[in-house]
Amino acid sequence: MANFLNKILDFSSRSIKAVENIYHLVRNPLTQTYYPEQLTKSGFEVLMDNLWWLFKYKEINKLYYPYGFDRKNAPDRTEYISAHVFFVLQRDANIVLRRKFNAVDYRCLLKDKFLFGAYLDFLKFPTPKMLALCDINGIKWSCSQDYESFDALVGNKNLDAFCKQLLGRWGQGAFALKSCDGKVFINGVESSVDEFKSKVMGLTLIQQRIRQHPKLSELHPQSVNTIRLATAIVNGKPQELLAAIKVGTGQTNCDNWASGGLLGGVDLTTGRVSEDFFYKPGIGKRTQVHPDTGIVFRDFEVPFFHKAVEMAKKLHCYFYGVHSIGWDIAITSDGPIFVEGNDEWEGFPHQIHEGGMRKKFYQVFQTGK
Amino acid sequence: MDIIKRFKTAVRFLYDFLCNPASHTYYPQAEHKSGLRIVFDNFWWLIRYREINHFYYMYGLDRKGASLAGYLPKKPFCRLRDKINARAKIGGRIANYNCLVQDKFIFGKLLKCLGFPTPEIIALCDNNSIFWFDKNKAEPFDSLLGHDKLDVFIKEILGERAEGVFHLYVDRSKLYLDGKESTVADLQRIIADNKFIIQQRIIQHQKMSELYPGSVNTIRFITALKAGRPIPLAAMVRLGASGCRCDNLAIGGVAVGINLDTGTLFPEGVFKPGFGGRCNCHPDTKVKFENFQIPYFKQAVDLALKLHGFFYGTHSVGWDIAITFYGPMFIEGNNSWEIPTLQFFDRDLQKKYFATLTS
Repeated sequence: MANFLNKILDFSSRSIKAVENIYHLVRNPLTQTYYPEQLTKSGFEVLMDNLWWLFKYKEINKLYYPYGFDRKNAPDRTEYISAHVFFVLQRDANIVLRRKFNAVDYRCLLKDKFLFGAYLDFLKFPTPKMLALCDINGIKWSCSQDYESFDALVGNKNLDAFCKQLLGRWGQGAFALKSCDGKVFINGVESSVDEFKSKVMGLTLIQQRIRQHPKLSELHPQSVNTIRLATAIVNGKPQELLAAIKVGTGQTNCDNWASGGLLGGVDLTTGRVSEDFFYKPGIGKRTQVHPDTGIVFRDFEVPFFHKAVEMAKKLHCYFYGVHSIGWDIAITSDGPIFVEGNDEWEGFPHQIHEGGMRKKFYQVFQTGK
Repeated sequence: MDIIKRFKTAVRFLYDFLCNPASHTYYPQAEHKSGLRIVFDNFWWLIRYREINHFYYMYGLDRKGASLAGYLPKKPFCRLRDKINARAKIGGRIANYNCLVQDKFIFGKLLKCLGFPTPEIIALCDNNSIFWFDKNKAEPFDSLLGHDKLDVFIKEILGERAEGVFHLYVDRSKLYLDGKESTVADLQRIIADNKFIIQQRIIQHQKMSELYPGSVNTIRFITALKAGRPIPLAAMVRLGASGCRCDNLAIGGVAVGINLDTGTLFPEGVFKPGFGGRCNCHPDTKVKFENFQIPYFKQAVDLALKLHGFFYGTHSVGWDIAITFYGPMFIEGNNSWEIPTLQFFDRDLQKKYFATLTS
């Protein structure tokens, strides 16, 4: 009985949330549109569109406006893939591949940042240098296998690093760490060893900070602006699937879309970025110029892009148990450097600049079946 | 149909297992329980744990006064171990880290990166090509024949219990698999759709060869995380026997417990059911087990504990460690280590294991 009541309560709260979300989506289309210069649909049409998506895919289309579905000459929505369908396809492709490997789950190699770094390091693929691993007991520097107390941080001259939770996602719990002249700085602010200690959640990785290519610094110097490149195993061989670039904005040192960054496409053949860059809904709209640096995105070419694609495909060969991977690649003056690999990468937002990718995703994810 | 088939197999096995206790016993000199009592004991185990106790005689439970209490059943233990090992919680998130020990390629590469001794992985291959790590490039499969005097082991990356492990030797463009002349096509057929590593061969310490020179005799050392810190649980050495090139117990090897404090062998070794009983010396070399000192044992323990610190995502690991002239060398880690033989040497093992879970 209690279970039944719980289910009803859960269903009601989800329904209320859905109604609320739809209300926000259709409330004032003109203020939400990413294409104010174009003719847009009426409020009723926007409502019908969203109800259609809700009933067809059982989810709210949070990217309705970035996709430009509110325009009179909107693209064919049936060619777009929903978030839920994308994740189901991605999960199923991994399960099919896992069966080939005695059901061994290889995803921890990507999820765990320490393992990812150690694995790449040995395979001789460039990745930020791992300086130490720490937990509540202390710091284990990579040069030794023993723990040292947290005070060792102060003794470490000129440490310029980035700390990440081992299994953290979307930049959660990540912070910049600097120590010089016996002082510790967290995210640029003078701090203490005790504060650092309080920020250590479970196991934390201390990684050398990346110095990005000057051309990418032109876009936004405060953050490391990374390429998101997706590769997938098609007919037994890794292939490039799509590419995008994430660029930070404001004073943030993070390029993450969720923390106010911009997302643009990268042409796989030319390595040039798209003309339009997009903010996450609720943060901003569409822009052709970086709001802080004034750089015009059109014709901006990502340095070492083709090298990055080749390296990612080669690297995916060693992650043979994962069907598709979303690589976060930084570009330095010496070439690409692999920051992260994600097994649960989000492919559907790429439809914002690439257009509907339903067919492509079905083709790629179902090749293993 | 499957249930009926399994039931029939179980009945046939139990009948054979119980009809002639004297031929199965590991303790022929001891006073034994009656046939009826043995049948009762086994049915009780079957009903309680839903498994046949294949190790009934090995544990000496057929002796008068022997109690079934204190022995962990195999299958429920495996289920518990797998459940715990597959769910590591780090910083509030859950992940499965078993692939690090299951995949021999990843295990080898990770250990090298962390600076722990492990046999060098020379190449990774499928049935089409071989990627040589020294050249950092892939070559066609028959490039193997160009590596004269290549003396290595070729192992399936996900193979278990010595399955898919072959000794490979190349001499004047001729290929020998497990000592028999073979062809590249034969090897490609063996590899089929799988991936294999080509790994450097180990020369074991002379003292380990004294025990049995025909195989690399490895230590199986169990460590587990207690409140996040690795602790030792049990250790034994596995020795090949009767001309076998492998130390595996499932193909007739003998196991001998190791005293964790001193690194000396227990007085008695044991064969798996079906291969023999107990013995106080090696059946082929006649080397006595009692007080035999395993070289570099302390270093092996220390290194394994340090290494488990980097395998923070797997609660308990069974390390296979070879001993070379230069010290211990990690061959494999096993997340699905088995308890029966270790229980033979240490009845407190289950208590020690559960103590790590309650911490």
